[in-house]
Amino acid sequence: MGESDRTSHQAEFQERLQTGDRHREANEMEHARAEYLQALAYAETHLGEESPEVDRACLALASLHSALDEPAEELAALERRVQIRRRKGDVTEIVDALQDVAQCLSDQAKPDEARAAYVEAIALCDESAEGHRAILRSTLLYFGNFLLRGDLPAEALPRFEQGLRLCRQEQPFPAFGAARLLLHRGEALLALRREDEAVPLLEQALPLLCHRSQRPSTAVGKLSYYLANHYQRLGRFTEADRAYATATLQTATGEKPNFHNLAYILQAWGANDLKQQRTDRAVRHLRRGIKAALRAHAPHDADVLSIQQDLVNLYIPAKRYAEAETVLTEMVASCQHPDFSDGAARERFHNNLGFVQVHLEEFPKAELNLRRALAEPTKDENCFVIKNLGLMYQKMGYIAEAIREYERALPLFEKHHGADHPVAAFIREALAELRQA
Amino acid sequence: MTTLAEIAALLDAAQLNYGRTDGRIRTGFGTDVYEDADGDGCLHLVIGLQEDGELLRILAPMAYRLPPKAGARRLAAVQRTLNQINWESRVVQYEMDTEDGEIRLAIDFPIEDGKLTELQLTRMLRLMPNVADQCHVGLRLALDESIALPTEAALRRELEKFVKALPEGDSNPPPNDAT
Repeated sequence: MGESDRTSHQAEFQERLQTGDRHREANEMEHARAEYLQALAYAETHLGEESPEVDRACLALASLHSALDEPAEELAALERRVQIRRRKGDVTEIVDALQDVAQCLSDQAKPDEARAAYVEAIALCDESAEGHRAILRSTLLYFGNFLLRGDLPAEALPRFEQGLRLCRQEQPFPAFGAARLLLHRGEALLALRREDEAVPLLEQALPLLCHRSQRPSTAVGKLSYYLANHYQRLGRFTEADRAYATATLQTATGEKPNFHNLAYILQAWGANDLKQQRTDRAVRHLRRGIKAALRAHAPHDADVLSIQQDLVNLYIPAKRYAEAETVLTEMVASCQHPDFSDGAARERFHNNLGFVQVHLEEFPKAELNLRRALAEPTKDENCFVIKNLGLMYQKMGYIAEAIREYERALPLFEKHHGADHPVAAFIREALAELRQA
Repeated sequence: MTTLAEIAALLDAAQLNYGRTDGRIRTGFGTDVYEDADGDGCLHLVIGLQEDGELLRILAPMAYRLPPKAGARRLAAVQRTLNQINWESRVVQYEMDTEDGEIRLAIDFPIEDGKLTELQLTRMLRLMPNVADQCHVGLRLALDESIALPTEAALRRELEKFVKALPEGDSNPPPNDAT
């Protein structure tokens, strides 16, 4: 084939591929499939079955199959690229294609086959060959992350270390690649409970990876969150604050925000605010945490209810009963879901709602919720609920009924929580006061 | 020449809340990280027209304030940080009034004899809280602790130094997977 013929075939192939891309962007997947298949057939006929154009068409098809959840077809397209490149014999190109195969196998929950593909890719590389270092480094990073996802941090660690050794040899120094290896080496060390070794690595890697020039990443957000939690545990609340801010930006502003992670970050940030006596800020973070959790989960999910409970725990001691009532009303509604099976939590939500309604002097509502709480037997024989019934009658001025409920509650508190429990002391004082009245 | 009424109409079309006072439009956006002086997660914006309606100016006045007696070290850190942010930013700029220490975000958009579109306006407005969020931690560090925002190049150099000084890992070497 002459050079001009080849150029014109390449142009024709390119046009078909681009047409496919346009359909794909417009979400016209079947049209895209047809165009890509046309492009593939054209390349096979006019440019050779092992041409770079066939390789490109296979990649486009693999991506389409992935989007359409056609795993067998996706894998076949990616494996064909490996075969094409094997015949050409360029190690970096083979390893690059093997990385895609390994990732695909990992996504398809075929860990043994994925591992074999990574191992093969690594074995093809020669660390002493300068041209192999960059692709070997990235394969080690991906393989290490694959092992981390498989809960094998001890196996992942030497891969990251080998990657960092390669970085030291490379010119110019691959700063972002090294930062990622450092970050995930830190992650592996955290998983191995070697926090003291992990933290300096995270502290070094995160500022560069969080630089404005870089796209936000959920993985970076997750490790910023771990670092923030570490600072919070050490009482370094200002540093924790900054790390939570970074974690939030990395998690919320990427192409695909991870609302599940974001909810955790905001909940922990709220706890950090409370340790600094910044109540209003804690309320804001917890409220946003609830919104994020609701974007990832149903209202009766434990993650949503946990943040709502934190908010209630903040409102009740601050005597912000009306705000607590709003949140608790939502929690009580959520726990009516047929899939919600935690009876103790259902008792606690109704009891807390009844309690705040007693303080808001909404007695009929309070009684209804406290009686509903009693319908859920608990290990401590519902002693908090009975105490709250006593409190309700006391506030209503029904002295005999209040004494009766407090007298029921007191021995239960002493039995289950000890005579020194502050609520037991409260009941004793209330009983003394009521008996004098 | 563009009028405030035309801008208000664009904001209506974009379904954005705003108020009009003193020949300006005031609006605001919730933020993820940025906090105003009261600790609220909100960036307050003022939209105005200058040069007979040929220049659109969007401001976030008093986004921060450097106290007048903050000292030379802090001033240097803040100015260096602002300079670095501006170097890395498109469209939005941070301005500082060295007289009273006010730091504001600003966009100047020359409309001249053109027609401002809803897309142009909303892109500029939504950019402000995004940039405020991205730059908040760095600016607060400069304002509170006199630490200037490092450049990307400085971070890269620091990382290289760190990695090269790092002792080889003490974990077992990778097994020979190929065998």
